[in-house]
Amino acid sequence: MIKNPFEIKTPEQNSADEIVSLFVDVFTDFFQVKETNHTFINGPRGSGKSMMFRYILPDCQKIVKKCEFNELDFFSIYIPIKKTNINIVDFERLENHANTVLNEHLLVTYVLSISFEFIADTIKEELNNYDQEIQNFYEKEFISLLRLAGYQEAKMNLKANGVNLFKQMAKVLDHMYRECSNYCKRIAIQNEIVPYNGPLVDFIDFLLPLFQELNKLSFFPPNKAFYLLFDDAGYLNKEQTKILNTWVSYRTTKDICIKISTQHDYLTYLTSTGKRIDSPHDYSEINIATKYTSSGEDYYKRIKMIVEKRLDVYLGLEINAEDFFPEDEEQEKRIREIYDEIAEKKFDPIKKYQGTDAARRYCRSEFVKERKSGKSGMTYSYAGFNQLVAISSGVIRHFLAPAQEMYSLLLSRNQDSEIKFIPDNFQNEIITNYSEKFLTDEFDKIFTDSKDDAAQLKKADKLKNLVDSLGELFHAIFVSERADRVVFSVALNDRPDTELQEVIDLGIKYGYFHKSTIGNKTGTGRNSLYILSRVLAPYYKLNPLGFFGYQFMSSDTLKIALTKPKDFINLYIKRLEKPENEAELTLFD
Amino acid sequence: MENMNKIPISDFNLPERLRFDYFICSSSFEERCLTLASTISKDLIDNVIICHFENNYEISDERLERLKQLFQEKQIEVEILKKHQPINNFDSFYKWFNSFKKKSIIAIDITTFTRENLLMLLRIAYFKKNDFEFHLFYTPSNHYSISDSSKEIWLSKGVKEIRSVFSYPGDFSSLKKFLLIILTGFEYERAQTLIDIYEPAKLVLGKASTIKSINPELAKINEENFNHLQIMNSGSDTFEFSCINLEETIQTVKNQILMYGSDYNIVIAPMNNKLSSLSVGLVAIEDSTVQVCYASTNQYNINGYSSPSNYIFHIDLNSFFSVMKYNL
Repeated sequence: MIKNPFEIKTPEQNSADEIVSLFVDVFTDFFQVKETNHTFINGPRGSGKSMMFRYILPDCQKIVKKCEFNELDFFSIYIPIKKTNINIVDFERLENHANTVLNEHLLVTYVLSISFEFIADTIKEELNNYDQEIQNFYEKEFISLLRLAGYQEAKMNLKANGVNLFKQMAKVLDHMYRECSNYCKRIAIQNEIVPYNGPLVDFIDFLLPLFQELNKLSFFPPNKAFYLLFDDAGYLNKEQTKILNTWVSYRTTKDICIKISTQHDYLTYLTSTGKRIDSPHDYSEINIATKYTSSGEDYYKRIKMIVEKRLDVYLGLEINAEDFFPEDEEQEKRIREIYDEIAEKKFDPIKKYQGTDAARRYCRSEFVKERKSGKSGMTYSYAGFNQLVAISSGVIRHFLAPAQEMYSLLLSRNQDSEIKFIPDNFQNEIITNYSEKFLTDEFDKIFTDSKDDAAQLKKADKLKNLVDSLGELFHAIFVSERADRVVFSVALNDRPDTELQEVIDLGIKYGYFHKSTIGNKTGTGRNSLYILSRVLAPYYKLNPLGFFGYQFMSSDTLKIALTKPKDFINLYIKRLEKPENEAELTLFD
Repeated sequence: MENMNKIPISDFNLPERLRFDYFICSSSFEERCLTLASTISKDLIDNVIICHFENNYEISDERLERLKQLFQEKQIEVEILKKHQPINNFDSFYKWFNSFKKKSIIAIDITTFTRENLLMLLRIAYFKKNDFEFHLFYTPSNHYSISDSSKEIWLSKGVKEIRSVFSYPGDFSSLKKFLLIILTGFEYERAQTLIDIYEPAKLVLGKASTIKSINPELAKINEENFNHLQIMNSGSDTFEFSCINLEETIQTVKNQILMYGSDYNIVIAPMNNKLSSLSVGLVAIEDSTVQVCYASTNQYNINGYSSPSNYIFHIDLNSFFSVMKYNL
């Protein structure tokens, strides 16, 4: 079967060589990931968090740095949190039992068994050069810590080689995990208290000392921390999340740095004792989407490299991303004509760039107006690599997922022919559907989530009104006579009240808005900037390209959109109809 | 009596000795929830339990009233189930069975139970198999999404939540990779969402066999969806299963577990009809290493989800329990 070059694979499915050949370095933007501290990496699904983790694993770093494992700057260990394993419905019953103690035991044994197996699978045969050292570690450290925890059963073959010794230790830890896990499942079904007689371990007395002892082994980088990479920690249950936060609150970064990726779905920042962990005091924080939203050019280059690498590696196609995703030629030809017309009309020999600047700003807007007034029924096409990148709005998956869909559908329609490019009409059809689904599917979810909660439902209604109002306003601006016609954000010149803030936060949670800041008009501070996701550009018929202006307004004005979207739109439409009021409009607050 | 048989509605005849102490069914927006309740002789039934989800579609509320009318001369209990609180629903089910008199004969119309509730009921039935005799009934649909053209067939949209089915947690080693087996149906998008969220190390896609499918027309659409899913997930393995023959599907699923179980933690997502979901449940009860998961939906196609067939499947559940390898 022909490979889909845009298939979104889990990083675990790729070898170190593949990752190194496919990965586009992002650590200039996200340097905190490699630093010796605890870090939260927040980003929507598909924004590249897992890939970043995969790249900093020792097997990749060894290739990148061309060094030995014990010469690395840190030794990272990948801890995937899946919905199937550590957080299952049956554990919810633990609320009536020793919730914290059992969950901490589960989390510690889960992390450690994965870590020991990971070490064996990563360092592989090289471990066999250290058999005696590993045996000593087992006898002096591992066993004694196990006994302190109440575990007596460990029977290992000490004559085994280094790899197998690590694998055996992993099995012992896995056994401890499963013993407790099965106990929890039994009490879940029986729903009555049965005494637990197994061993119990925790972070301070078991996990931390074990890693401190591991660090003394000569195949690990000496005096460098272990990085524990918790991928998709939003899938932990609430108690497990509090336990992980408690670990973050400990000052252990000399030995263990905890790197936590979330999809903005982390359940709580409270610890088991009710204390809150804060940034930058306890951890540093990265928000991927916000970063890429504010740096479009870097993002374009990254996606271009990703696409071209994938086309080359998977299909053997040496082709420009722009040629694989061609524009609608007819549309672009007409836009260029309009560009030339405006450039000529607005040409001013004193202000050299005035003509081309106006042409750049208005050509797409004028094109859309022309199409709107015409009888051809044709609409603006969102085809073309340039537009698809812009629409993906800083989230790599928003590019790859529709591209994967385009490629699969095209393949299923032309089974025998080789695909050299994606036709523009095909691109437009899929990206338009994708945009609509992004809005409707997510809102279905929000409304269903809110169905049992009247207050939440009101909030969801208000969010829908807000998104629609801004979408319509930005479209109206796009087809207006205004100087800045490409607007995707609202800059608030005052602090929103609780009602508005909660609705905006809900929008951020579901990916409709990204938050940023912008210098205020007096230059004395910064205002909040809320950027509408460009994934919605095809849905609201907006131009995803170019430099984006923003609309300053007061919180009170924006609040009108929550309950009276028509009034909100009318308020602005009136001003847009009178271009002489433009100054008033941009300063409207 | 065979362990499973197909009974035409026009000639709905149960074996002579069968009388039911309890008849359990579920209201739904689907018309099929009324088929057996309208057909079965009320003289054969003593007590009725109707399960009904709170905050439901209006049409489901209406069908609840219709079910109550159909059994108006009987002792009726309406069990209000909570959405997205499976443990609460499990406890409610468990309470009934604890209150039933021993040796009761119980009929369960599984047609419109959610797969999650069906599987939890199956688990409890297994615990209580020595106390009661269980008879399951299933009315298949003969046509889906009746208000849409076949190309755009849809049953539900969006996935609200994906979770393991309570009481089917599996016994997972943290050292094994994770394999997802999906018994696919029409809901291709839901299957893809499940794959996207779970990100399994290995994916195995089950396709309902065209020959052994309930309706060949539907099977064709199923096949198109399946091909699309396969293209979207290159590298996945595939197999075929029956949606009408429980024993055959049990064996098929067991074979898959046998093939992959030593290398992977296995999660099975039954996304086809209730009969194949039942097969998955029976396999997972016998093999407790396997986890079963459920993807709850955002929105059902209440205007045209399905119309009932003119026959009903009858399943003698205890006979399936009695042949289990680890029969406790």
